Amino acid sequence: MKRIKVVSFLFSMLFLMGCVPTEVIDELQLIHAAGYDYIDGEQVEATVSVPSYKGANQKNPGVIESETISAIGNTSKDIRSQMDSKSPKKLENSKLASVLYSRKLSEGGIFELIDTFSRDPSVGQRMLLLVYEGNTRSLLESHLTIEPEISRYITELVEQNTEYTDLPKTNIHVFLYRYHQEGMDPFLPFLGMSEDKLQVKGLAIFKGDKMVSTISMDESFLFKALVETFSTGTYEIQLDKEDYATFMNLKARTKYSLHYEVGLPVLTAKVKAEGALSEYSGKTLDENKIQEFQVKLKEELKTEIEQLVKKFQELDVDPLGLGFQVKTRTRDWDMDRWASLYPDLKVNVEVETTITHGGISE
Amino acid sequence: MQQPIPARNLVSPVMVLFLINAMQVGVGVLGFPRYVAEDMEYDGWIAVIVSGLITSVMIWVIYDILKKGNGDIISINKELFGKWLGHTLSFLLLTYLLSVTMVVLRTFTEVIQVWIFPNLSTWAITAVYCLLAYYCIVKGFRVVVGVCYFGVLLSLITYLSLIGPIEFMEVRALLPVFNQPADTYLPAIRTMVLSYLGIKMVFIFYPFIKKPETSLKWALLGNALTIFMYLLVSFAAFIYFSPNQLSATIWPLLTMWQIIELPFLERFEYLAIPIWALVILPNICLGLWATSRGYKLIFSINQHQTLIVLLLVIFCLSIVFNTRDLIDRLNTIVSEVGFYITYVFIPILWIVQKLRHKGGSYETNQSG
Repeated sequence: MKRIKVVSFLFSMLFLMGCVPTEVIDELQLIHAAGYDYIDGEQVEATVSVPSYKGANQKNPGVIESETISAIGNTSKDIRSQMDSKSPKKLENSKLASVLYSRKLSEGGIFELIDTFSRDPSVGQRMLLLVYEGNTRSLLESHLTIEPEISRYITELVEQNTEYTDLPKTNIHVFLYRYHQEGMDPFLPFLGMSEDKLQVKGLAIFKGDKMVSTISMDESFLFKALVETFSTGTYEIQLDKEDYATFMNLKARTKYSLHYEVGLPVLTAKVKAEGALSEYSGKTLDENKIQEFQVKLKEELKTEIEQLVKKFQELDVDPLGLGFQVKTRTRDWDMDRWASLYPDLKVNVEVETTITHGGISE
Repeated sequence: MQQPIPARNLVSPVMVLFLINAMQVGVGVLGFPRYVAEDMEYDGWIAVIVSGLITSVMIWVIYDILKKGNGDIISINKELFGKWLGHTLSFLLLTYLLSVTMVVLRTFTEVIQVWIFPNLSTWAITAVYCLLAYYCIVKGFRVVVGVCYFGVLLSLITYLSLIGPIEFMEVRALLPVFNQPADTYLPAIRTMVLSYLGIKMVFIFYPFIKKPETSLKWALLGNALTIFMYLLVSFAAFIYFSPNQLSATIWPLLTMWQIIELPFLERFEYLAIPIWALVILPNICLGLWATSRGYKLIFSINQHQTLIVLLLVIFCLSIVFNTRDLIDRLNTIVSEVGFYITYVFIPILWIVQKLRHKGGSYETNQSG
């Protein structure tokens, strides 16, 4: 008797557990991408891209296209409630893969917009944050021929470029890490249109949460070599007019060291680059030629890295994290003192290059 | 003197490792790196080690008290302080243990609500836990130990999960070491010892161990395992988050889990939090078992009925504490009390017992 009582009580508990609102995937509107645009100093326009499954039946999965919902408001919360009022299904953040900010908006500061995402546990830490040079709403509303679902296209474009080419690893975690770290400034991938194709144009460089400048895709390779422990990328050098070569999978890593000259910190960046020639325009590629390329590569990397560092110093931004390098090598580091030192910091660049082989033909 | 525990209810000394470790590792691991970093920034791992060693010393002290007293805390308190005062002290200690159980349960309920089921009401989660705990405890101490054993095994996923965030780790952030001024060490150690407080449970389960005197090394080993886990988790959190980012993260371990992507599962935390729900279970089972047994000995009442009453008390209380602020305050108060019990009451107890021994009054008391 007693056992029956206990069992029936347990069973009733089991059924009561069902009182949580269910979330059936068909009845949700999963946001795949979002974009924010500048309206005026107070207001932003948000656009979300949700997939719509057209003409799908049991035999034919149909085409996935994207639809958008937009709203204008002061804060993210305000915008969200407006969006909900425009959507027949419940909007869900959990599949959100990339968020775009228009250039104009980024220049005014975007921390508050990012912060709302970092508070939401349903948003993943690998979510991409991107800066787009134009209007993000028209981008999300556009239909590209190559991939009808624009949100997926954007995400894959950036992921491909991070994995195989010159884009350093980014996501919301990396942005927030750099935003909060002393002696480091954040960066985000910078996208734009060239003709009718979406393209990764380089990196948007931030000071705090305000975008101040961009660097090109070529500079982005150098950038990646300087900030990541192991990085691979593509690099092209030219000997003469018709004599150029491309290095695919050029592996680079940088070691920093610090010493003092007359009481001022001097940072030395030792870049080691190793790679294979994969494209060559000339006729024969012999030992001498490879040697020539090696020297040329070394010189070019050195001057370009120096220029890049100089550029950041002139802009008074530190996306390379040079301050962080100094901070972790100094006792009782003082952020304010560093801020005054940084623009005139002496940075030595040393480059070492190795060319492993010249492809499969001579 | 108390009734001796029947031999079939005893557990082997090795199990003390799991009992100690299961009691220490709980909801605290999910959030502690942030608190140490607040006191001592990224030198906080030093405090993790030092406070772990201090805890080892306290385990030795507790064992010393129990060895001399040859029984549990209730009989020792009774012998040293007399029936009334002794029982009052034991009662307060047990009530503290009960409130720890409550805090653990309520804090983890909050984790489930924030991370997985925002709409699930508190009572539903606590009810499930209370039923599970009842089911385990009612079958006796050996089942509780079994739960602890599995809790410890499951908590090992933490080590695996730390591999995931390595991709984004900035090891340089730990440098330069020993950069913090000397006066930050004490507050940081004081904060950190709170994460090791579970050791008081030994006071109750000591008589349930076969040849309990031999289990000291297992207790120390269990504590060492906790130190190791805390150390790895704090290292991982320090190199994964930047300082200001960490201070804005309530549950660093959970946020780190968010970056892990498995081929078959996009979000690791949805797997890890349910596993963690079972790591929490030994805390609750052991806490309730210890308090119900303790109250039984003090008031000479039925343990089964006591357990049901305690479960109801916990169930009702956890519904009362319904905001983040309240839970936080409850957490602070309980750990504050726990600190004083461990580092004031236990040393006093130890000294009083020593003095009694020297005075020779112990022998006369024992017969009485």
